[in-house]
Amino acid sequence: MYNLGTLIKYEYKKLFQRKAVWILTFTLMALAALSVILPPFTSAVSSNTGASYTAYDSCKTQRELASDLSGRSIDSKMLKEMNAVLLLDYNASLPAEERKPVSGEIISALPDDLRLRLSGKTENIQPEDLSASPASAVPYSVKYDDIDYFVDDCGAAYLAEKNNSEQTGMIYLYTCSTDDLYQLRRDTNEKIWDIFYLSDREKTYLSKQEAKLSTPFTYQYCSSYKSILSCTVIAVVMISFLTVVCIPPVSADEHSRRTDQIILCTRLGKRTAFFAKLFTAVTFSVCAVLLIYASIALPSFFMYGTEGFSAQIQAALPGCTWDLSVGQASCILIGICAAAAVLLSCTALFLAECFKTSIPVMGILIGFLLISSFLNIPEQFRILSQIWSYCPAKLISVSGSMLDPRLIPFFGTYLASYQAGPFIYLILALLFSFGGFFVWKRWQADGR
Amino acid sequence: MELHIDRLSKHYKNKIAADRISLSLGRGVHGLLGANGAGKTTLMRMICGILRPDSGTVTFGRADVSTEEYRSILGYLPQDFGYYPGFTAEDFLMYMAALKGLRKTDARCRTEELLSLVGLETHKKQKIKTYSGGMKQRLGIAQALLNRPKLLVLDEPTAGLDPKERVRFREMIDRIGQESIVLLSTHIVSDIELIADRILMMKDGRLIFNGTHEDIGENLEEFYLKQFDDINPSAPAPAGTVTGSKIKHGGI
Repeated sequence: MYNLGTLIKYEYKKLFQRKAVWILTFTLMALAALSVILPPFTSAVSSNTGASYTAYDSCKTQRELASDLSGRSIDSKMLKEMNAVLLLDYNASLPAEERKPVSGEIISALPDDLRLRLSGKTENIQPEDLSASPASAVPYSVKYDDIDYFVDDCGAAYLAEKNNSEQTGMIYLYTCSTDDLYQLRRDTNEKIWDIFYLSDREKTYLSKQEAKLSTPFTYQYCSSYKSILSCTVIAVVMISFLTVVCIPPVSADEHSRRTDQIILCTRLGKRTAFFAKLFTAVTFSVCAVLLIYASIALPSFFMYGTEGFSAQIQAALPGCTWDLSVGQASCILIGICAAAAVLLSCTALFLAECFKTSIPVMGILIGFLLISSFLNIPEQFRILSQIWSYCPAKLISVSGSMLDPRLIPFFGTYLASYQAGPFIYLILALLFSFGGFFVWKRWQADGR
Repeated sequence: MELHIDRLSKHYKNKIAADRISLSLGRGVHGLLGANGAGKTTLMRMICGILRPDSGTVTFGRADVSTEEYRSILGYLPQDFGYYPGFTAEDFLMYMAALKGLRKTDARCRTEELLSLVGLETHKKQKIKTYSGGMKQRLGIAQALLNRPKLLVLDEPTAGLDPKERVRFREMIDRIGQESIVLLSTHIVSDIELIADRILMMKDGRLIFNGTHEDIGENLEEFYLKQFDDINPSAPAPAGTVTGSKIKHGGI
């Protein structure tokens, strides 16, 4: 295996001499960064009071205000505080004649800074009184956006009722106790387990996992990690595209250029040369994952701050059963993405060896990516549907890896999809690598 | 040091490309002549291990054609092969040297030496895409010689070379032939006439002649053309003529 390093260097040289590799890499990196940067600036948000501002203003304000909430439990006290602010907000949005005096109970539930700003005012509270700061159009209530989403996500039944109320122009607030809130979350999760046709043993296992979670959950501001998690779907498409375009020529070009015959009759041409190609393909695709994620993470950190790595994932994804932090979940998704990129590069190399040209390989892999993105197999076909859920386009998403409750039995215990996925990908990658090696070394110069 | 080819056969769908060819090649230059489609390239590819024969074996000493040991003594210049257009001649030879298992320092020395030998030392930093056909051919010859092969297989090596380069190439092959087995195929009879110690002729996948200039005893070109005319069965065959699977005189 000596000279492997030199051969890898030349494989990289061949790869980077193709302009398409540079153009595609930089274009996709730029698009990944823009997919984080642009939406907050291009989407306008309107408050109850009619004030309009960008989503970025909202995020920036939320970041400033939510520092007060970091480390606090999401419990009935916090809900009461949020409800008081939302109610004030709603009241201020009504025409002056319809506004009601605010009760002392509501005033006392308000956060200290807002209560001080109102300085005992209980009547005719104007929308300006409830803005994040005197010069800002963003309402103070954005501070509780994450908590509001959390309550929404905890209960589908609650959410339906809230939507009905909002349609009639009413405000619907969740006013139950802490225990009721977490029971609501638990009930929602159990309904989802039934939808996925989980066995009793799986349910027992998941219940044990649920029991490990310490409730009430602790809130921590973590918008940058939420942004990274939400961009995963875009990242998968970009990484797949980059791999599928750049990797097949690593091997197929030797056949189309007819350099295969001089390579394969050299001493290291059969085994070491293939391993150099494989290593190049795998490392390139893993680097592509890191580059694309860096293009997503850097603007996210710049815009939303770096805080929140250790935030409990349930505060951002209430349906998640696993005891993880948001930062860990982000790293796990990047890891799964890297394993998928390894699989994709080995598959691309194998197919390129089979077809001896790049175009059919690109067609097959991009076709599969599109089909697996759009096609769903109903959950009632448990095995088929679960196998299909391990397609990279399905698994590498928050819902695919963090919220899918289906488990895989593993030596007396169970593996979650985010644990089993990378292993499955790496085993398949190994099989495709062997297949590619077998086809490469058995290449024949007939038909020329 | 001998290359043994034993009853080597290769069939394509409706054609026999090599028909039970048996040969033993020792040190020296062996010229392989034959018309288009005679099976020269097929035979050379089987000798280089990039085409699996339907039957028969190729061995060099104890090493079978499929082994790494065999490939380590082999130098091959195919008839039609490609380059990496963005590579310089130096890059290309360094890459091929790595594939042939040369250490970096040896590879660098050998690359310099061969670039000078094929007259490309002044163009070594130029990209191959800017090279003429003849320059590419000389680079191909250089890559075949990188590992100081004991078995050098050259398929149409003089194609694209100008007369001056051809003379230089002949001298180079002559020198290599003193230490190695060189098998070269060409349409150009004069190349073979001047450098080959032994002449092999193929027709329709069969080896029809394996002998020396002395066995031919006349002008090689006339003899070569005669082999492709209808042979009068009553006329005496020259020494080295392969009849069926046997050689009449001399030869293998």
